[in-house]
Amino acid sequence: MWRIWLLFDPRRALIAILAFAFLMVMVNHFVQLSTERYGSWLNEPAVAAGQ
Amino acid sequence: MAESERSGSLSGLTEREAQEFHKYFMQGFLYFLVLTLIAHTLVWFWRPWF
Repeated sequence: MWRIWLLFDPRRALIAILAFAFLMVMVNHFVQLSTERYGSWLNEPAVAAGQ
Repeated sequence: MAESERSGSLSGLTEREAQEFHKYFMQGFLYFLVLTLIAHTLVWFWRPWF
């Protein structure tokens, strides 16, 4: 597994991984915010929890 | 730049450097994983998604 770093330069790989992770995290948080179930964690009161 | 070709790898790292970097990379990844599991556990206790 460590041989991957013989192929890819760690500096560029790190930047690419972090950028991709940041993008995914942003998208996922906004997607969750747009849902009825989870879209209320910023502006309570809670929408029907449906528990 | 013939110097950086000495190690012969595409990335320019020697095998020892690659192994060392990998150690730190995996350590960092495990920290991230633990934090993610904690966050998901908290959200699960708040509002389960299944």
